[in-house]
Amino acid sequence: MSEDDHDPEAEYRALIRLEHDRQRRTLLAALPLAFGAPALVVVFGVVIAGLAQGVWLWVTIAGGLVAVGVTAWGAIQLNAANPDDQTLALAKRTDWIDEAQRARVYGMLYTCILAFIFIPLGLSAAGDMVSGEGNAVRAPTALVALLIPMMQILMLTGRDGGITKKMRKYLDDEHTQVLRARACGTGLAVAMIAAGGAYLIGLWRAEVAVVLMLPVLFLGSYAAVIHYGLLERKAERGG
Amino acid sequence: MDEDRGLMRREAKRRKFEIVGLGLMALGMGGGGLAVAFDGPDVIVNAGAVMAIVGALTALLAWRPKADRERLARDGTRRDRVQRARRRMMLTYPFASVGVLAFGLGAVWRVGQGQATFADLMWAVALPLLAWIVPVMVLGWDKEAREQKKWIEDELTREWRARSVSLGFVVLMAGLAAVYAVGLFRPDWAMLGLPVVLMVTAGTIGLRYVWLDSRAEAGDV
Repeated sequence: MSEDDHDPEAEYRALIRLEHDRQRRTLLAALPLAFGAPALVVVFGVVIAGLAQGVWLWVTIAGGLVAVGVTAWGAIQLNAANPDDQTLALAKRTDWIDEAQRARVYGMLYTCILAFIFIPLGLSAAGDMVSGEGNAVRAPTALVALLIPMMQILMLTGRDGGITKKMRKYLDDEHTQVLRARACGTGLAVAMIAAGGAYLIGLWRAEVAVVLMLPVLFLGSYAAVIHYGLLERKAERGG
Repeated sequence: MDEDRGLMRREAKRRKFEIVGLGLMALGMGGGGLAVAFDGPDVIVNAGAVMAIVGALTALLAWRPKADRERLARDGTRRDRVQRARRRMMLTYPFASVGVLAFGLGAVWRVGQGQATFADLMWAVALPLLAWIVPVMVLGWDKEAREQKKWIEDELTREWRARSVSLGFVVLMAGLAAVYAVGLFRPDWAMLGLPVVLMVTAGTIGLRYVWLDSRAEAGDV
């Protein structure tokens, strides 16, 4: 085999380009999801609350159908952003898989930043809800914060859209599963202790316990994700 | 060899009986306990009691015959015996805790309504602590596990532990999210849901562990 046939450096660069392209497509596919899913929630709320009357009800329902279509399209696109066989065959010979693995860990850790927006928003909305001042806007605001821990757990357990069937055997190897299980154990212990504490406060004031559930959920998923990141870093450094 | 297979078949059948019995007992104790705790109709209390007794009898009737028991004790290594005994506890606790939970929920409700006695408060405080029993056993943090670590810890049990704890984490987070969503509208319901979620998590971890372990013992993996 000549030097031209197998140039690891060039192959690697090509793969990184392909991966960036894939990531861009994934992001673009996430856009319809980001608009479609909240629109669905709003349509649902408007119909349930009876805010739309007469012809507006039908307009809202039509809007809801469009939102379903947009969301479904986004989900399909997200699934289609899969590296092809040639890319995978090349990937096995380079560091590309490690690179993708690292990108996943960073993605998970970056989601932690979202707490700065969602915890204050969620806490204030939840506070209003339990004190009986909730309305059709405050309820979704309080509930939407749940998406962050949910997203983190899906990513941690490898069930998010970013890890496709084809990629599973590379990104979901034995090493990852061991680290994941340890991280989940940490998350479980932290969440159970925190939930027990919130419950004890709730015996005194139930409303406070409900509002505290949000920080408890964030605490549990953050403990798991951050422990996972630390374990991964330790493993990379040969620990 | 045939004798072994026969023994294994009897063991599998016995385990099925035992689980059905324990399930019946848990249902009866849960239903009856809830009826007692919330002053429900007497019919439910009596039906629950009958169901609990029938379930407990079924589980007891599924006891090993003496010959099998001796055979297993002779055949198995110390490791097998210690692990089997622990597995039995992990299987029994989640079912037994259903009754405790049902009584405890009544206490939690009265605490929420401001009509609690000191005993109610103690019940309510004990619930989240009771939920720790099974996870602590699965994680191997209890006294027995630390003393007999070399019999209890091996590669397989570590794998089952990891898998069951991961599932428990997902169940706990989903349950807490549900409690939060319900609590936004009805905070008093959330307080009833919280100990249920903790107990269900503990039960999931214990039963998943037992299931994985017994499947491995039957040579199914």
